[in-house]
Amino acid sequence: MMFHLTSLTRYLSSWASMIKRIVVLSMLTTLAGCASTHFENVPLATTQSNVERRVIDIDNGDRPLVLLAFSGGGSRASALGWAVLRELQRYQYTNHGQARRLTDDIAVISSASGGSVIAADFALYGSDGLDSFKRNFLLPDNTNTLNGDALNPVTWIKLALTGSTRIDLVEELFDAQLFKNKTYADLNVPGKPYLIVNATDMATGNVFPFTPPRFDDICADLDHLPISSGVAASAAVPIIFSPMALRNYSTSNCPNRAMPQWITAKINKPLSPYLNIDDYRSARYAYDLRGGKDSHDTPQYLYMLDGGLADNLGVHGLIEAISSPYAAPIIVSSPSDGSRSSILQAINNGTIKKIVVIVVNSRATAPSAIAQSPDVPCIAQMIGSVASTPIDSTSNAMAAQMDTLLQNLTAASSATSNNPAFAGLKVYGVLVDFDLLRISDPAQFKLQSEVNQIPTSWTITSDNLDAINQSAILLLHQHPCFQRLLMDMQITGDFIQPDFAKNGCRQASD
Amino acid sequence: MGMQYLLVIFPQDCAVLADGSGVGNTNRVLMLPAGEYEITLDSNGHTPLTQDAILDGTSLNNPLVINFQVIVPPPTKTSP
Repeated sequence: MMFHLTSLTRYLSSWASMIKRIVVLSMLTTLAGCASTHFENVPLATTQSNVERRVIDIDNGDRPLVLLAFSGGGSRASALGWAVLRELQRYQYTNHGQARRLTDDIAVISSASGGSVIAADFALYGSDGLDSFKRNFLLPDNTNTLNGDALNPVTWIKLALTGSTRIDLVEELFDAQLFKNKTYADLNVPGKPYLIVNATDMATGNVFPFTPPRFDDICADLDHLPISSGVAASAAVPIIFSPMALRNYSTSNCPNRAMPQWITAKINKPLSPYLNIDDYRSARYAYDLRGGKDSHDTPQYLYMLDGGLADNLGVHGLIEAISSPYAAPIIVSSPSDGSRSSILQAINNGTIKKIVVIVVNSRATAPSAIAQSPDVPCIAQMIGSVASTPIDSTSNAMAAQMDTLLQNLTAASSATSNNPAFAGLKVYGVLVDFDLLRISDPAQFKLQSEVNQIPTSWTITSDNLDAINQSAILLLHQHPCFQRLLMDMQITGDFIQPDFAKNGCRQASD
Repeated sequence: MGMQYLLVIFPQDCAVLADGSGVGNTNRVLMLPAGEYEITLDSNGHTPLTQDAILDGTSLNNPLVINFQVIVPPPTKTSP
């Protein structure tokens, strides 16, 4: 995935309210002089890999495996993710005599930018933290807090003396309001969902997930990293915020370690790049980060920008989590011996019986004034228009990849020959997107107009939040695969239309 | 992303490894992303040790099929 420089202007236009103050702050910190760069990560200490402690028990397939992707979009995205989680929390079913909520079955969350705030909060605190998230993050005027910090002379001095940058103000905000000095070690606990907070590597344009395998690649200790660092990196809107700096400790702290077999296989097999260019590029990137022998460009320093630049939907992480043979082994495959498998292996072994993928896209498309004007658009309008295209195109391409994967899984589940263990797998793909509000319904048309006017910033009004919450509930209720999931799990809902659900979300068993 | 299909035939039920990672078991069709893989087994003895699998253009009904055999231990010599 290439990094599109023009994408920056899309962000600039949507975050314009903060630019002026940030420019002032930049000038002042420049005048104050520059301390050495503050790197967020520390090297691995005694081991040469991060330990994965998360493990998801799906009770031999009796429970669904729920995977979520939360897109970027500032507080609008955080609010839509929050509203979806709150709605999922309402649905309960019984498993071996115990009541469970759908939120208890969330196994993986992948996110970008504003979506990362709610993703990390949920991964840390679970459903019980949803009320405090509203109170501590969605209702306060976070933009005002950031602006206050930016104009405070104490902040300028601190930034200048500590080598911190503007993104550190965002990190401090997240930490003070939500994460309270918690680190990734607090997330890396059995039973907690596998969190994939995505940033963008500024130099290469690659998606950079804050996960144990990626931190292995740079020989850095993820457990010691504050959660707020990862979330702030994922939300480092270019120019408005500075990139977050990470050090690559591969050559200094992990010399001579063996390259993982999958990387050498992808690099050395002659057909590899022709059969699957995405896998090849992924291997090549890991190889470069690890300082492979003929690596032409081992980066020593990495600068992280907003994850939305490379994948604003956050679905890249989900696609890898579901389909990669090399994904983290987080699924309990045998409770008796404690063995684990990747999601793909669990699908192939028939351990997973229901897979639910919910993609939450908070993109807002306010009506363009261009289409209402007889005047030829000016340069600024053209730049804005050109800038939005790469991000939207990447999002569409990612969404299409996910659709194809889910279609493949659905088709495979109908297999009758060669004895596949995945026969009968049920697949539920649910898209939550303001575009899907029904404009034929006057109330939904009005609601859509309302949410499309919500700007991308770190502040939303309580009216905004109400509109987003109403939209999330409607979008879930009227999605055929959400209705089908509830039907198949014997969960009732007065909005369920059985024929609509069956026709819109066909399963192999139909 | 299109998925491909692999069937590893072996007289015993054991784990199939692709580039060192577990992807499923023998004698059942498996899903994998397109690509070139080094396939081996987690068994008590099989031959060949690894096989290259090029997964492209397969289907559920026409998976790539590769075969492994059990290593038969040599007969133990008995003293006269």
